[in-house]
Amino acid sequence: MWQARLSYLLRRFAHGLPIVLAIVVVNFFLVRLAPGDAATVLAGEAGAATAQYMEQIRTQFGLDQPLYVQFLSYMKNILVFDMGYSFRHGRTVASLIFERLWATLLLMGTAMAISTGLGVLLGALAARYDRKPLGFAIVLFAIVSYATPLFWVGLMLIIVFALNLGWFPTSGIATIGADTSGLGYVLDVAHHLVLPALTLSFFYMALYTRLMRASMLETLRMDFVTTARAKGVAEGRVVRRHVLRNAILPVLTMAGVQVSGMLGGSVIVESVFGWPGLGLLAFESLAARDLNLLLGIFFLSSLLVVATNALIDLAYTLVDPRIEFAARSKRNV
Amino acid sequence: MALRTLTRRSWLGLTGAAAVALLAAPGVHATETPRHGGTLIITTTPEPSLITNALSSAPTTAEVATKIFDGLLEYDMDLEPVPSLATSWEVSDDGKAVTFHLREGVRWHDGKPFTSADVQFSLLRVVKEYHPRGPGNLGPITAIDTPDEHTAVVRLAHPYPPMMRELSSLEAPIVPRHVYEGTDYRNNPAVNEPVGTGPFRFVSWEKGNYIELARNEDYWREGRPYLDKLIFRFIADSATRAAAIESGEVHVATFGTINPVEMRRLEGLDNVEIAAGGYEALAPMMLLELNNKQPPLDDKRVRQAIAYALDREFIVDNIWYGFGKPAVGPISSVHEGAGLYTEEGVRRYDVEDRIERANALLDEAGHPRGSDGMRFTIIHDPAPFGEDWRRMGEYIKQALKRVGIGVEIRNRDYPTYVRQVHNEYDFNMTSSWYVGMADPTLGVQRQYWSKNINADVAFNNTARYSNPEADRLWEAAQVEMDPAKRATLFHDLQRILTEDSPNIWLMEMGLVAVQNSKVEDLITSPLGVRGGLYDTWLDQ
Amino acid sequence: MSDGRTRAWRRFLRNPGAMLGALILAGVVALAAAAPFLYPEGPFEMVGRPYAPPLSEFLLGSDMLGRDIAAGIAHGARISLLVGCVATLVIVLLGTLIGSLAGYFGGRVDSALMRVTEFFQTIPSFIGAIVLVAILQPSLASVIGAIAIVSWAPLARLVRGEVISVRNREYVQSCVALGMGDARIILVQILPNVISTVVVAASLMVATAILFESGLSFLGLGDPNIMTWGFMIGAGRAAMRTAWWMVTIPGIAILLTVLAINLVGDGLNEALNPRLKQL
Repeated sequence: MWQARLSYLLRRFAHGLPIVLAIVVVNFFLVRLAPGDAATVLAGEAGAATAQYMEQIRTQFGLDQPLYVQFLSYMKNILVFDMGYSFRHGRTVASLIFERLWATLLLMGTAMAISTGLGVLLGALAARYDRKPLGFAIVLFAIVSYATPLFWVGLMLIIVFALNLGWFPTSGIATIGADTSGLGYVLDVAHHLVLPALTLSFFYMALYTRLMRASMLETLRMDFVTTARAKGVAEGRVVRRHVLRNAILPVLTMAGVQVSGMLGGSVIVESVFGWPGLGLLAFESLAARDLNLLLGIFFLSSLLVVATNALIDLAYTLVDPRIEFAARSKRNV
Repeated sequence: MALRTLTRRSWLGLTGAAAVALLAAPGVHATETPRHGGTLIITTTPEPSLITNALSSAPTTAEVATKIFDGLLEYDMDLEPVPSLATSWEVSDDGKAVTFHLREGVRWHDGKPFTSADVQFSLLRVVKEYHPRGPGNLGPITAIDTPDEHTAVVRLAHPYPPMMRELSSLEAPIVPRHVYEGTDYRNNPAVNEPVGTGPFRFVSWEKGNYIELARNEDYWREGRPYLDKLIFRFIADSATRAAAIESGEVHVATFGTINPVEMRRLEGLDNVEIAAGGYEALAPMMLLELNNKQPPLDDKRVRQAIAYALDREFIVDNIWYGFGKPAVGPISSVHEGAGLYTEEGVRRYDVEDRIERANALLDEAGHPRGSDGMRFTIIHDPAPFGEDWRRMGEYIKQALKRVGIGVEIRNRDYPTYVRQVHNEYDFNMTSSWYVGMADPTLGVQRQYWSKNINADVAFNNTARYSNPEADRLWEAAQVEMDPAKRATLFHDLQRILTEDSPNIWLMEMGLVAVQNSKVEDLITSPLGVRGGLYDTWLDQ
Repeated sequence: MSDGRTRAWRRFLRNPGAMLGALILAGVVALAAAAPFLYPEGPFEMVGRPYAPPLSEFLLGSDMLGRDIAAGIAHGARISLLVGCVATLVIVLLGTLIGSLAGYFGGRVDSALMRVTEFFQTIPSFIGAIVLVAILQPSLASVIGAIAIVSWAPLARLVRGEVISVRNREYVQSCVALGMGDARIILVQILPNVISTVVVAASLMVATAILFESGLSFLGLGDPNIMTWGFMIGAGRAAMRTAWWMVTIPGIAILLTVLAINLVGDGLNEALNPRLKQL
């Protein structure tokens, strides 16, 4: 069984590869064709844009080469994860990205866990107590959350929980200058993580709640549930054994699709909370026209999306082993 | 409650109070003995791209680098020179040679001794050539002799009194020759891991997060600095920065990191105060730069009309929340004490009937109102420095609409803005600010001198203003040794410039920092937070 | 057919959520339509004292420059609705075109078009929109264009699925046998059957587009010459704690509008596709 899974997983990755390549190609040309290159950026920041200095920078970074030469060398390098040099930061793009990557993964991972976890729970409760006050309250909460802009949620949480109540820090990923290590550091990061992760999960939690509720209600009406009930299986057991397991599938699928959306949300959340991850880096590099860095982030986030989609597919098969790998992969094309 | 502090009258009151505080010598309230230890956390924005200010005039670069590097001199609150790496100095009778006696026993952070060769190298080979203001400021230096390890003689092409006001660590930091010589300075790794002689040494730079400096145990000022660590923290969002100050996570926020309205709110809290003063040596001036070479702003009358149409008090009060005062002309009133500033005979644009005058000038210039009440439309590029600048653009748009000038606002990212406006002159009107520095020759001249029209160098005479008479006066002031005659030259310049109105001066900016109350002696020099902070301590 | 429509209409009218949404939405539309008459001087005009709280000098207070928040809300409603509707229109055109071509022709056309679709689905959409707006420079057109470009892919996929299921029905097959042209079959025989799905998806997309626009404006990537709700929040957040209304009121405006559109969309979904799962 696991070989089948592995080969399926490999096939999924192979399928994603052309997409990733296409993203690299499109981004490269899109961003290069925009006016203003790294030389004008650096010169502008240094306050001196002498023609000589600009020429020096262009030669140094190969910006004086024809576009296709730049492109070929970019493609060649990207195969070995060499994503070039960030002009703005004076470092390699790869080192910058990998330094920031874990922060974004941590934020998104936590947000995803919170949103799917709470979403499934709330959705299940709402279905169980359909047309009762609790169910109605959950639906209302989900509908309102679903319509609330992310940045607004972040700002409100900062005011209430960081400033007025003082329960959480306002920004950053760890207390600066605290020099903690080991468990202390982990707890410190966890403390800083709460508000941004909650903010990011808010919208998705609403989405999953709605999805879970609908899916639960539908499953509850299905024949095998009725059969189980008729056989005298206790209601709690019916829900746990039969309904939840089936109802959870659409949520999982949706969670996979939402990874790319969450990356976008992380731009806003990271900038509101000063969370030093990829989203913030992308926004900054955009404002500074740090093109290589921007390309690198895109490359990596598309890899991330492709990889997560494949993993979610795998998880799907774990939850519901009856799904045939071949059939699934065909449907996904 | 909070609202009350925001009424206009109370802002004016606050501005007045700030002005009074300026007169008192900072630091006098600190009656307690300074204590050693602690970590001071400063937030600033944007994160600098390099932290060696000999190579860049970017404000945040200087904020970090001035802790790591020393200059030959420092300045007291009257902008008079006091010793730093130079212990004493003499000016020759002809004014063309200045001898600096250097401090002995000073060591670089890497342990090597500091000598006159470092001074020669820094001023002549690095600052003069690479600092964006270097060619202008240190231009008259022809050579630096080093008769011995602790003497440096600066040779000048002509007498150049302003030089003595620009040898601080902000404008002319002394860098180690042994680290840089023979390398490509800008790509030397030391640019981002600098070695200096200053009160703090570089420890680490976590990009996107913070820069950490630690106490230089070997600092030549006995017992200084007081702080163990100095951390510059970078937080992307301004509301978050304000919150970090409020919660005490961050101790100091430099001007521009927190919106002025939030500064006023934070000021009302028990644990936060505004650090008054600390920008006098910068004499910062906010202005609109106009494209003097392109219609319709090539017409003096149109430029004057715009100058009349804007209400500077509204701008100071409602956009900058009183952190500044309305400007009259190109030279800041900070220079009033030295006699260089005047209001006599200058054209005033804050007159009672300014709107009528603006309309009359526009009619006269041949721009009648059309059927929709508008005369013509220009493009305004707000400086890409933040939200407040955009707000000011929105105000300007509405204010000019009242005299029949349509304004279309164009927001650009920083690099595009620099290229379009300052390198390609593809603009009508942009907001900006310049540092007038401790002497108008150093900071103001470059904005209006026709020889400083240079598309390659951003943030210079972007208006491309050119007036032979003004050029003559600037050049005379450069070499004039008699203070009274020099003052007259500057007074004449103020009259000519306000009449020609090449730019529109809006506000003398108050670049004050916000600080936690437990930070003591933050501002002890006219450079404020851009000083060495070796006197600063934490009351814990 | 008309009988089905009447039934759908009745289902919609009986749905309290949908009716509430429709009511709110009608209010927003009315406000947008009335804005030039209620506030002829425009949303940027500084009409009074800055920082006036709601219910004092102005109904909804004034902002930091003394601009009437109510004028901003009214004029902002026009922009939000405009962006939402135009972006959705572009999305629907693009998505339906690509989805129906892929679904109808199948084979290589299908796999090629679906590769393109998948490409656009993989790009993190909000980051993609930010990049597009920044490169094209902020303007109303670039904002709408960016939103449309990053959002059409899911609709194309949805339409494709529907088209495939319709294509294989007998009456379509008989049209093929009769030698009817492809374009005609798609337009006359297939699309009418797909329309209810598209309408439901599109109604929800209007809401998403409005949220997208507010996010872009909030980050300072909107057209600086146009007053939008996201812009108001971005501008007001500096003063958020001294003047809560500057951020809160436009936030509520967004929330209500998006909520209303979602409710209407859900109502349409239940009315038109009583058996279809939620999107």
